[in-house]
Amino acid sequence: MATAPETSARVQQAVDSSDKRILLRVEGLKTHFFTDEGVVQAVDGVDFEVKRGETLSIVGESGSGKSVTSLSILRLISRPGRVVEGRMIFDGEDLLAKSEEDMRKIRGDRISMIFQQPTTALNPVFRVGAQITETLNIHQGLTGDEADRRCIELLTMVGLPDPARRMSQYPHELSGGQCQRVMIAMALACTPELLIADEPTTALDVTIQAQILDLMREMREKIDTAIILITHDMGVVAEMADNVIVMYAGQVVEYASVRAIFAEPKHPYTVGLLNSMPVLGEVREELAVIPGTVPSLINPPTGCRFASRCSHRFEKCDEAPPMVSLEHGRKVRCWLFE
Amino acid sequence: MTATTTVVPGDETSRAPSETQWQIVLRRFRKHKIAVVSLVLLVMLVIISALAPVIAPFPRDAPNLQTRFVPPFTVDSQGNFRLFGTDHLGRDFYTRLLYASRVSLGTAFFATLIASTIGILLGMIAGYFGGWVDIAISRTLEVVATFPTLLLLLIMSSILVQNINSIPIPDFFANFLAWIFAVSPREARIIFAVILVLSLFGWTGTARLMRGMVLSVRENVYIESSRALGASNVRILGRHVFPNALPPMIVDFTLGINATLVAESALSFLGFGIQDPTPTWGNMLSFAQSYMFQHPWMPLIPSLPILFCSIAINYIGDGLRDALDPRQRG
Amino acid sequence: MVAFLVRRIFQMFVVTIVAALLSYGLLYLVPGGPVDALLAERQNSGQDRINQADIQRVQQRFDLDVYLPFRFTRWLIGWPSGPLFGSIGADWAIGCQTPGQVRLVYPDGTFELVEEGCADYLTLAELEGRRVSRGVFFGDFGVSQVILRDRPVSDLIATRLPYTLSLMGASILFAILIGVPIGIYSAVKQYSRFDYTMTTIAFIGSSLPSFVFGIFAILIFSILAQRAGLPFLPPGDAVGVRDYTIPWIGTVEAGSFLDRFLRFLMPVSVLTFINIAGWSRFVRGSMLEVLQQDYVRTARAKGVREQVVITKHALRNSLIPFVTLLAGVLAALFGGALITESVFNWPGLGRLFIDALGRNDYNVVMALLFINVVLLLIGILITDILYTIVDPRIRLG
Repeated sequence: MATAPETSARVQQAVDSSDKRILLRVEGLKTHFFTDEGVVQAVDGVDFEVKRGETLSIVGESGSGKSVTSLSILRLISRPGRVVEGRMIFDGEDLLAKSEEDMRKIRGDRISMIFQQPTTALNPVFRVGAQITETLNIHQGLTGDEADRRCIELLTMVGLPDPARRMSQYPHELSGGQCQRVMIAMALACTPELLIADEPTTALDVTIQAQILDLMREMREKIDTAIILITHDMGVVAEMADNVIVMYAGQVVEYASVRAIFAEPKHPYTVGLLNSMPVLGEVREELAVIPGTVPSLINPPTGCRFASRCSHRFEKCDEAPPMVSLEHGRKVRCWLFE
Repeated sequence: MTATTTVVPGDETSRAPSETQWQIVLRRFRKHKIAVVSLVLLVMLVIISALAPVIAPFPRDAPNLQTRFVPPFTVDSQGNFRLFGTDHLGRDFYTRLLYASRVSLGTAFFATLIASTIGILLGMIAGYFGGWVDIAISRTLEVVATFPTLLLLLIMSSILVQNINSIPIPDFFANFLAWIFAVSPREARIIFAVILVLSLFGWTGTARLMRGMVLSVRENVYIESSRALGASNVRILGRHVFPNALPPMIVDFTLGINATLVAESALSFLGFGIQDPTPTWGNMLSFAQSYMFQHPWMPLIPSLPILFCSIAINYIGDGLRDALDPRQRG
Repeated sequence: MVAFLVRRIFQMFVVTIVAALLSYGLLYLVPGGPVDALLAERQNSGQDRINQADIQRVQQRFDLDVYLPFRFTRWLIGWPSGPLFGSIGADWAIGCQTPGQVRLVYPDGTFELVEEGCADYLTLAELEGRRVSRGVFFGDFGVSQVILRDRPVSDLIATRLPYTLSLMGASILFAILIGVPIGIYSAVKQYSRFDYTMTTIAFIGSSLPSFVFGIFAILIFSILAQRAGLPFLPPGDAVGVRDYTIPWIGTVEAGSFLDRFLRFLMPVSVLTFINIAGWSRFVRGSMLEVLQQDYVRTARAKGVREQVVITKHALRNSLIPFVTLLAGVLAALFGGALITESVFNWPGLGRLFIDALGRNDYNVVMALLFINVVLLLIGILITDILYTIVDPRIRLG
């Protein structure tokens, strides 16, 4: 794959200077939705870092705020939602301080995103090729044959057979897996420094899921892009991630390397998540289920948000627990580790 | 005759477990201030029109050539105070308006009731049983949809009204309608003909909506499970399908009343609906238009209630939609 | 594509026949019918008592002495018009000119005359020479019976068509040009003051009955404006009969371009306003739905300029349901606006329909109804074809 020269130079330079190892630092991010029923605090004070080339996985149940976090990074939250607080330092600059026009230039070029439902994420009335070349045209000024050639390259890269024919097809003529490959080609068209993948395999068949994960790993090697992988599937985490953030009710409850998380989960919620996951070759009586549901984010409990479902609950849990730093850079938001 | 008050889903019986659901609906509805105001005013109008024979100050149609075209809020030559003035035959506008409200609102209500009932039943049958029944009903819907509705409405209404005496309506029924609408049995026959025509064209939308609702509800697993438990078709339709499809039906019914009200007024206005001397807002406006150059206030009297009702009912429908089915907000 | 067209045109053919049958039956099968209505009209106008000859004349004019199935085929395709192939079946009965009478004597001596059988049959030969249209199916709608007596209905329609075409064409065009952008902008700026104002106006506009709206327009812009000594608009008709003076403008010559223009203004504005309310609500709703779709988010995530997201990615999709509305446009264009034309006494086809219906000119009523059904069907066919152009997911089949 021919990487555009100036992009590889940029990546090269970044890797060399160690103080620039951190690509994205999110600090105190709060994204709220102002609905008729009240203010939904979907993301409420989230901090994390993504290093260049790293794959960071964000896991949690639906409603835990992981998708909203990712859309906040691209500043794609629309009304009635709004990022109310926080900083998102991307390559030394705060994304929240940027003008809409500067932000637009970053989207799809330096940070790109793929979505959960590949079939609905592509515009049904435009041909696949046109949707990819549009990105090339916006960020690299490619048009006509030049764009088409690059488009065929990209489609070949993501493993779509007969790319020239695919280009002139409409999304509904492709399968879900093929659509996701197109989405990946589109997201990688400008060799982004950060790729946000929001549940990229959830909507796909199991066999296709594996293929797409393989493809993403392969692309990560080729392009050396950092990935934020959002999922609720611990299996996907185990296969892909370097580090893991566990989110619950709009907050980060645990941060650790992928080995540490699976070897020794700290937060009771993480323990619950891992127990609810089937393990191949291990016969269990039944999968553990975390009782209860995620609390309402309109008036979240003042204490620990997981307390109502937690089996280790004690008096202290009525107060909001701080993020506790443990050894090897691990962090956990729980009074048990104070 | 409390036509529109029945659409308030506050007093639904035998739904004990979901009692709070109706409270939620009520709370949401109250949030829509314009809808609440509209509802209150409309209920007042309904009550007033129901009391028409009691509170009307003058006989409904007693022509009086001495008191023609008396402007509103004045005393005529015979010393009578005319709240809304008098018409081209010297009849009291206020009195006629009271009776007209009863006729217009009642006609719209009953026509919509019949149309909705037909629509709900056919939609349910089509959606629930599927197969050739569904095909037959859906095809009929498609064909009816290709008809130019207004033209047919006018033709049918014109024919029925012209030949009203040859349409078999039992006397007791005519008398019953006469009592409801506070008119003579002869007039009641014409009103019935108009109700028939209006309901004949009003059911297609409801049927289509209901069919779609049933199809989506039918997919739900609990229908499957209750059939496994040996419930009859009627029971499944009544207990599961209908309650689930009820909210959009209530909205549809409310907006249907408005559509029918406007259609009836248009028929009467064009001269093919309910005929003078039976007063309706439409035929009163039709006469008023002929004299509006000399007496510009005249068209205001019958058109203001039409205006008020169509806007009010639409707002009530809007409020109900917000309250019953917040996802459908547009 | 060819198979689709063949099938659809065959379907349309069937529906057209059914519609013709229904509408024909509607008029002739109900009790009373044209004879009663016509006779009543003559009686009311104080003419002599009606005799048997009168009735027979009316029956002949309406083909009422021909048996119903043949009356229908004569109306539909102009057949039979006389003996078959010129000579066959000249004496075959095809109708009844005078019904037979039977005297029923009751036991108490009273008697009653009851119609039974036929005293004088109508034969195919007698049909010859009687006026028959070439058939509605071939575009011959017969002659007008009341409004323009004995003139072809198509002449009547032809003289009214330009008025309806100009009125409907202009108002639909303006409504789309104004309504669609308003709808798009409202959706994009949802909950803004603009959106709020526009949705309220559109809401009230679409709940207003058009005749109330029209009368208010006349009241304000004709009557009250004239009384206040301000420039006013003439209240109705397409052409004036007398010159009139408008303040600030001067004398308007009846029949001049200015006269026609001024008279055109009010009905076209009323229709435009009502249509704008409808179109803008529709476009807003469909746009709002599209703006929530995943692919719009994808476009934004790609770095597409917001303006392009709206005008390219979203608009293209939101126009898909818009196509369904076009099905009705064709029929509306030729059908006219019944109510608005009536309020403004605009001499278009809608007004013609109302007049014809009110005066029992059934051939005219039938012609307009028939044309409307056919246009609606053609509109639906065009819509289906347009769908496949606008939405690649849809195939003809």
